[in-house]
Amino acid sequence: MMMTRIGKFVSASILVGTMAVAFTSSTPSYAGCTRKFADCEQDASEERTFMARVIAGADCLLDFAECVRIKVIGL
Amino acid sequence: MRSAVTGRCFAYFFMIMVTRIYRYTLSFLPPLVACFLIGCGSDTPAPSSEPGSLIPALAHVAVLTRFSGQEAQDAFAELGALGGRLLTRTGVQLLGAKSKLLLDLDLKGTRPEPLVVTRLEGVADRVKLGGLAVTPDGRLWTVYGRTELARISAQGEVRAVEQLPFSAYAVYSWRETLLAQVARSRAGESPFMGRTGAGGWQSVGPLKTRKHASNRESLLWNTAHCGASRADLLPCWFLLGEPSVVLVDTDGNWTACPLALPAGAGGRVSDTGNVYPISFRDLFVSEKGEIIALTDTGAGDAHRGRFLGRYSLDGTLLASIRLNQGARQVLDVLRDKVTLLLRDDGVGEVTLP
Repeated sequence: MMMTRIGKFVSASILVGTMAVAFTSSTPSYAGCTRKFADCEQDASEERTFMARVIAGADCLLDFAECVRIKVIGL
Repeated sequence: MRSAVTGRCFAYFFMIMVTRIYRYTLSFLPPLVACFLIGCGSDTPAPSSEPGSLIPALAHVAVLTRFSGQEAQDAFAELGALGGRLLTRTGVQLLGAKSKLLLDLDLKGTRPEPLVVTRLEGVADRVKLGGLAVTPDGRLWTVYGRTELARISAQGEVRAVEQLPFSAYAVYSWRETLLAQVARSRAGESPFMGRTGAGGWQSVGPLKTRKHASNRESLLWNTAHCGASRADLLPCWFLLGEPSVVLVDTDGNWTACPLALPAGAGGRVSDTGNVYPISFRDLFVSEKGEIIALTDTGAGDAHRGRFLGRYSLDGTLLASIRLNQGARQVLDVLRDKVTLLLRDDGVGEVTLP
């Protein structure tokens, strides 16, 4: 009975581990780019004038796209 | 009476055994099912009835010892994200996007020192350098902080000399023409601007910016890039989405090349719920006039830069292999040997049949 429980526990652990590895490695997340984008937008929203906010926001977008570009071809 | 008791005992014992065997088997069932569903990480090629979906053979990359010394390893590690790449007569130059480093690799073994490291000066902190180009006078150029064109002197001094009339991510050179990859172009316009000699910048090429609902989507989907070439054709393409490859010839004429990704190749990037397919990570046209394509074998870090394909100029896949380690770029191609910049900061060589 004890052996069965240990066997079940080991099997369940293998299953959970396998599933965890499979799901976490299936799609690479570019959280780094997104996080920088969010920070950049936050900074842009604190600009004094409307035009300054618009220009800063546009720069954030370009930075974000460039970050993804470097991730695809540069790493 | 006695036989009846014995029979019951046997039946009881038999039931317990069956239950235990059943439970024991059940305990192994979930991992077996999981293995069956998601694969157990085997490198053995899976058989397939369709020739187009055959998983290519696994090839081992031979690490080049002349680039495996401590100094070279440190230089590659410091290089970080690649800003630009330029082929030379004997090898290739690599520019760091943020590391202020220019590496000159001698791939043909004609120099006593295989790697020359130049530390760039005059680059402000947090400014990215994009692309590496050379003009017929031998001067090196890069995009400085997206808005300026900068010259790189032989001593490694970077000086911004010209304000660009557009935002650009990178600059490439193709014979006597400078090609700039525009960061933001209107829908239906080319993502490339070209300039020959002292002329002005003008929109070039048949690639057209695709329209999307939001600025963010539009910027991502329309990010283009150009590879390298030892022949008379330079390959350029959109990094995400359908692999729309175009080739520029020496007269500046552009032709579309239907370069399809075979089944099982191609990666994915995800961003806040959206998933974008990667077309190619790098393209290289060899002296023989064949296109060498580097891409992924699937989604995830383990698959990154591990598919290498050889295509004819009409887009037919001639040969393909899976690499036993990921590569970042195709550095050069000589006959059937492909030299690669590896993901773990080394240089390797592989034979492509």
